[in-house]
Amino acid sequence: MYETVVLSLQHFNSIQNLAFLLMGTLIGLVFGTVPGLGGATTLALVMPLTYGMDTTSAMILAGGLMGSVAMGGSITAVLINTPGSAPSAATCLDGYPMTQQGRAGVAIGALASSTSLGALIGVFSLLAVLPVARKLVMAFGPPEFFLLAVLGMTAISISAGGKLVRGMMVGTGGVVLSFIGYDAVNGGQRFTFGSEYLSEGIPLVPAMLGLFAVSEMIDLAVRGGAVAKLGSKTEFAGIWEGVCASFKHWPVVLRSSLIGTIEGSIPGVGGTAASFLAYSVTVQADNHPETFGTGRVEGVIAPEAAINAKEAACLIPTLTFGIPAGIEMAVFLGMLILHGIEPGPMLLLNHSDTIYALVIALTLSCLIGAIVGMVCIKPLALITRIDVHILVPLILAVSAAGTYSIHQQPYDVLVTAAFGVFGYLLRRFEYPRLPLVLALVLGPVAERSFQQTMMITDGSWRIFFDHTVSEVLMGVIALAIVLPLWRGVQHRRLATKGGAA
Amino acid sequence: MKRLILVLTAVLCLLTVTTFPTLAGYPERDITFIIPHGPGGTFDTYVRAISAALERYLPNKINVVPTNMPGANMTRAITAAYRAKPDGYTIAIFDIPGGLLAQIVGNPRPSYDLSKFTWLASIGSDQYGLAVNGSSAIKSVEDMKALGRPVKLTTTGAGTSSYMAAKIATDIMGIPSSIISGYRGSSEYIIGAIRGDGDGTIAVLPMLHKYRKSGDLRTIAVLAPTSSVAGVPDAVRLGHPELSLLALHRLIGAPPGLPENIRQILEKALLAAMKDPETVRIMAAAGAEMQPEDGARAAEILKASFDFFSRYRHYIPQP
Repeated sequence: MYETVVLSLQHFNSIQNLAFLLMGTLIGLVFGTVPGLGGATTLALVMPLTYGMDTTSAMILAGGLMGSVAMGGSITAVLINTPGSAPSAATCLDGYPMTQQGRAGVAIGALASSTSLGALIGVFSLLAVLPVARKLVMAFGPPEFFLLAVLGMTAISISAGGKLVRGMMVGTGGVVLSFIGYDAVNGGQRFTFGSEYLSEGIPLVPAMLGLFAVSEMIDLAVRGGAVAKLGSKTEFAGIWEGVCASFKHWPVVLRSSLIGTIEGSIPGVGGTAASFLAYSVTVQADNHPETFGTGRVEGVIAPEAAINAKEAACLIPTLTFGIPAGIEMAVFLGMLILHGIEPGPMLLLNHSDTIYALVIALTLSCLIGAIVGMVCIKPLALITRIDVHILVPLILAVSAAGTYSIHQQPYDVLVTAAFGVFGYLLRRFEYPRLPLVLALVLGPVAERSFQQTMMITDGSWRIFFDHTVSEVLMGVIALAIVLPLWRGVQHRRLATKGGAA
Repeated sequence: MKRLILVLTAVLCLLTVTTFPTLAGYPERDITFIIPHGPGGTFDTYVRAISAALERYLPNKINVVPTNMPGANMTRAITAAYRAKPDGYTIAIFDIPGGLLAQIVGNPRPSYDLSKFTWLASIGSDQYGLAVNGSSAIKSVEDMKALGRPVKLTTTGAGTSSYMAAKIATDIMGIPSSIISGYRGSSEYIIGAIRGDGDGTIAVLPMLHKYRKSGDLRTIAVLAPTSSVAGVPDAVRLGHPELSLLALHRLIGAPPGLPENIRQILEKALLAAMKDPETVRIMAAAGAEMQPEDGARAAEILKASFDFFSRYRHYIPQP
């Protein structure tokens, strides 16, 4: 295997391939900033252009694009609370408050370094895991998917930051909203009121754009001023501080990359869940979970490391079974076919150098994307200084156009607007928004996997205790519930002691 | 007089503008090719391969633009194609029986009627096969019947093509079955079967062949008139030739009321595009085989499918 990796590295000796790598990275970065476009659509748009190109060059172009598209979406998430894709929405939670405090440089620096580290860890995991990849994919079935979703949702109680009842209310509302549409297990439509549009459920990207970008713009319009709060100074020198933050918080990077690798390698959970799960686990593991959402750098590092580790890990089921782990990989398989390569279990054996060239391109693209992002931060961060009267209409127009471009569906724009108003009301009356997002993302995974588990076992719960992976996951869930409670008791005890003294 | 000349000039200009397209001949602008699924799947690959060749076989140089319109169990794409202007600039690929099932239930009545579409061609059909995990103790249909419990098969959601195929096939063969539904596509339910979520699965044969070769799955029945897997019984040998009707068809159609001259141009170009060596090469790499047939045959396939699946409408979940 390692000889093939070295052989694949030689493809990057040619100027032409390096140019394709750079081109792919830049296309990914630019298209990634457009809300709604995402990696799969960008790849589908570029695919016909690769026809006639040498297969390895095409893979390098694709790798460059796939590696950097998430970075583009995360930069806008940090700067203007507008995620380019659904996974980047998790970066908004702490990245944007940092920008508001004038710490955009730190956030971008942390984003760039965690992205790169995540990608590197992802690639090393991919190389390390490949010999046992089959076992990894086979170890996660519907019971494990269900427990992963539950683990993600336990963060609702913590992220509610002292407003537990409100968090639970919003979370329950989110779960109910996630029921809307086609019942993926039993067939038929639920709560659609005969609407064809709602039959696919609440579309995630328009909803996220509304909750984050539009609600923020409404707030800005009401508040006036600019994104970076009055009196705060956008400190570009903070970039280096941000870069170092990822190394300082290496357990967060490592843990989140691991989450990204596991989620990426299992078809069925989806990439959006990876970034939110990494975020919520980081919140739960922290000593001060209540401070998340107010601009904690770990809140940027966790989702970013997970997103990029996932990119490489997505190749695991593709290479071992010829099965795409997500929509982006499905388009990539289409691209392989266009180049005369048959996707399937034999892919790695027959075309290993091409595949490793893709993996290397994916990693290099994350590094190049991070450098480009950091170099461009100065002009980019000026966005946060733009007056509200110019910025609000601009972002609203971009959000509306981005939402519309996904399916050319005018109703998507209405969903963005409705979630924008709802998100603003939540902020205005101090209800947390994270539980709603977690429920929308993880609710369908939990529901579907639980029903499938019950079908597999004919209604018996024993299966959760029969598999080692589920037992471990249940232990982690128990810890996630008990630890914050225990910490709360400790804090109260300390406070009482302090008061008594 | 001056006024009359002005009016005449204006009328002439208007006539020139409005009649120009007819004089230029069809097609004179880009054709939209609707795909009822997201990018990356087999349908997407078919359309992208055919579109590239179709541009070469149409009388005028225009672009054929593949447009993914996933959602609502294909209803969104079919409705869009049904409501489009029948001018030859919108065509679509249809997954049969997938798109047909909502129409068979008729509650709520879908806003389209597939029998009214103008059918242009059939790309081909894929027969189904019944497969079990490669290491399963089940070696044959008889073993499945003798399990002493319902056999568990992994499929997509209730009422979808694969779910219906599993229900109908096991019903015809007299195998008690329990379906583990809810997987989001053939890739997921096949991996579910390999993982051991259920005893096996029913999927189209080209898909099963890949996993049979790698030893992950074992095909135990080929639901086609003749078996393509050595030693595995086909529908006739199983004593149920009607199982062959359980096929996944890929038809190409245009909105109802397409003028006959345009239909002929499209049909001829589509058939040529499907036989184009480059299209054949791309599809062979994807593990798919095409059996191009004309619009009349596509209409016959639709009718036969409608009649067959109507007999099993009780398996389609009612709202």
